Amino acid sequence: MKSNFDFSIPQRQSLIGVVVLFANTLQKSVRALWPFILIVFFKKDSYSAIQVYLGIVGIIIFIAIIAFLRYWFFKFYIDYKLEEFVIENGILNKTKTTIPFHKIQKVNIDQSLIQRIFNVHKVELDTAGSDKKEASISAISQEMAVELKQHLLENADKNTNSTSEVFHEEEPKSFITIGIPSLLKIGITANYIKSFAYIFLVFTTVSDNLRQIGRDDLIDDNINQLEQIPIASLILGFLIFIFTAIIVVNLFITVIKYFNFTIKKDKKSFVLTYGLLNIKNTIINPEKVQIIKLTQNFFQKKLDVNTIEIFQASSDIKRASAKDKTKVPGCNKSEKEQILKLLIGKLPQHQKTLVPNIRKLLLSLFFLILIPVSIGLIINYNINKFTLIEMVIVISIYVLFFGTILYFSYRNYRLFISDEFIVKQSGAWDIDHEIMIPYKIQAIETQQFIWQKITNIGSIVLYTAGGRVSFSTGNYTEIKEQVNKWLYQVEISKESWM
Amino acid sequence: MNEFTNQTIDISTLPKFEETTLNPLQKDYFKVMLIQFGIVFGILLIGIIALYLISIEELIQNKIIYFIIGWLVLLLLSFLYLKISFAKKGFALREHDVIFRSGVISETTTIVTNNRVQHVALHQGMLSRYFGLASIELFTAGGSASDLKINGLLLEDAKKVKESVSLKINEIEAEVVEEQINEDQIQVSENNLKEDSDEI
Repeated sequence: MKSNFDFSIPQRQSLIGVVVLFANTLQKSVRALWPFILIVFFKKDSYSAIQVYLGIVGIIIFIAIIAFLRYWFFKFYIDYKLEEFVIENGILNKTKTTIPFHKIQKVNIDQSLIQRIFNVHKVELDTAGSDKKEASISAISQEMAVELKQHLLENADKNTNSTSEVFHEEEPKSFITIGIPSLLKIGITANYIKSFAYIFLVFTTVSDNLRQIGRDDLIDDNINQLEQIPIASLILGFLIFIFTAIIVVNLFITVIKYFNFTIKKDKKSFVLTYGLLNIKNTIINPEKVQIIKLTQNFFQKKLDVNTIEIFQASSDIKRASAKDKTKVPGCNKSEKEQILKLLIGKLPQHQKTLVPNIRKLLLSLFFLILIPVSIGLIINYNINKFTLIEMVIVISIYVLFFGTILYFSYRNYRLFISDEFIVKQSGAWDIDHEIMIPYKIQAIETQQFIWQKITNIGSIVLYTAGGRVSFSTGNYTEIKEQVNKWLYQVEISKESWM
Repeated sequence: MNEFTNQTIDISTLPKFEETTLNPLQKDYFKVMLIQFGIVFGILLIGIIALYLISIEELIQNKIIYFIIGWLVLLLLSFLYLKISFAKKGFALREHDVIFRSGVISETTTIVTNNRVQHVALHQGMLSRYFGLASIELFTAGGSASDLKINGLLLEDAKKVKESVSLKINEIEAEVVEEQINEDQIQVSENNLKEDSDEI
């Protein structure tokens, strides 16, 4: 093969890559220093304009120097004798990363937004035994990237000889792309609580920083102004403000995180690529998938969007961890079915349904409604803070709200069972379907309280290498029956569970 | 993958795990538990006596009888709990899986199938060794919550369990190697007899 590059001698990235590194460093610095920047911004009166500009220029020059040094000290080469790929980097702390050829499983070439602007490419190596990207080169030209990939795969090939077609691989066909409309739909219908927490965090950090620099008068002034507005419209305005803020933040986060979400099929596994600023690559190997979780709420059902979460067995330590979760945001029904078919071969159907005992509902009503309400009544009886009418209003709102949630979470709590699948349905607003395959079960635990023996109620936990699924307060005879079946299925199974 | 069949499973004909007769733990293990229990309560009693001797205040000296009564009640209750929980514990080794049941108020049955065990560990503490006992721990990929630990087995029994499960692991491993899917090798640690320090 003709080669324009000699990878046996250490190579640097493209010179234009300095710009990418600069942007990268700038982004990191801004992220780390934003409270400081905010302080300067609010205190700008106390500095002269020249001071501010000089400061900014100084910081930018400093970052540029760091970016250049990072570029200068970043070298990569192929050690043909030792059969490994080597990356050296670090300005003060030198790091040398070596990756033996036989561990290289995949070489990805990618472009983020900034990289696209400067026409450079990112090369990432996926290795066996780790889900992390162990090595990545952030800015090299396309020819170099392609040639490097070929060199690496060619050599990786000689060593493993099991994946002989890797070298001839054509660009895998993209199979599902999630467009902006679906992302927008997810953005306005999901993650309210998460975004609220985010806004809350930002708000408290800002006010904290303002307080530190002695500008809390800014907040006090605003609050004083607000106090003149009647309380009803204040609450209404506040709710509207929070709600819009949540939706806007949601939209931004979703679109930035999952921009241009594509799923490509690549022989046995498939690859998810997404992101606007940072492009992320995730490989999903259907064999390793342990649990698939579909989530949909009422609005999402009307808009025909689903969220799919895929839990894989972690290859590192063979232990379940939440980090091996991959999320597919917003796909419609047919896309959902396509993905499911890819992962588990067919759509789950159920032959048998386990329902929880009515005691589950009664118990949660007792603990979450009866007890808090009685405590509230007793406290109010002693301190007499609220009038009877106020109490009745508050309690009825509370009972109505939690009663509805509890009722729906009881009604949606189901375990659907077929010979090939176990599907657990749960949730009050966001309704989850957790799908698992019996032969991937690692261990089964059944549990019963002594007082449940009379009523024949019991619970079950199914452990997999990607998390657990539990079902409580069901008919214990039925549960035990199913356990025997699942044990049989696990014990006769010859299929690899990961 | 020869002769693929896909018959409907008739649940009623399957062996029932709930009807398996469980073996109780070794009687000697109760002695081990009792000695540990005795040490804890002995220390507690020494503490109370020390308090009585050291304190100069009349108040504590007069109330010391309540401390002793409290200690006695606690001792009795814990002893009862220990006895019941010992009696409730049981295990069974079936051809393809290991069953372990425990719990006084909440009865939990854990079942780990042999072909899902990642590795086996055999522990033996100082007291246990004196009585010729050992405990066995089966690790699966399902996380630490699903690991199965059985205390109070005869050393020979524990070794037998370890061997039979290890055999299964090796079998699977051999198959995997044959099929060239070979991912990470399952390690069966042969250096057994680890000191279980927390047992003392």
